[in-house]
Amino acid sequence: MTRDATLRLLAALLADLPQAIETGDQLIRLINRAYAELKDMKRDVTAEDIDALLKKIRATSARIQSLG
Amino acid sequence: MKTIVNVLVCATTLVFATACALLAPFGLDGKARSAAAVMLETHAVLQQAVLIYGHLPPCTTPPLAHVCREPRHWIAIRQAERLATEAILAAAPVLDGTTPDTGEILRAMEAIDALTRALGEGRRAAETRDRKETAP
Repeated sequence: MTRDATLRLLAALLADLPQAIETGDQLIRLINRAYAELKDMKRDVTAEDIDALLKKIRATSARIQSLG
Repeated sequence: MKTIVNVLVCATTLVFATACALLAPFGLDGKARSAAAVMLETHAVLQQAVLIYGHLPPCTTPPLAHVCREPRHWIAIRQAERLATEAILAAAPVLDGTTPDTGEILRAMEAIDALTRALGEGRRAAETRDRKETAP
């Protein structure tokens, strides 16, 4: 499966989430943002992009692990 | 709870799709880096779902909140998230192309898969509890 096929699948998933759209503003914003970021990857992904993603993942993981 | 279930299902499907995307083109050029970025972005989405679940109040008996977090599943999900992130960070030199892959990518994908399974268990538990609470 290619990246484009992944994007098509993501678009299909978004179309199939009417309950989330009605009841979960926060969640749908999250999905939409991820979708927009994935679409942005039509340009070449650089090592800096990868590094930024890794930093984001590390920071979010720290937040998760700090929850009781 | 349905919203959380929906996003967990969505995130799980995304990870499997991403695993396919990653396996296919990995190795040579910018496409490999794009696939790696998709994997990382997907894990970041999964993490947001974990964060949202983690902020729910713990489930109690009798139930005090309809939407709640199962302590047992939360421990498993949090541990799986930690292991997945550690595996991804261990694969970082491979993902940015500075080191050849000696199994780090596969280990990261397996760890992400384990996180999706933990989330799936949480989803099934939530559905079961939902059915019990709404039963006449």
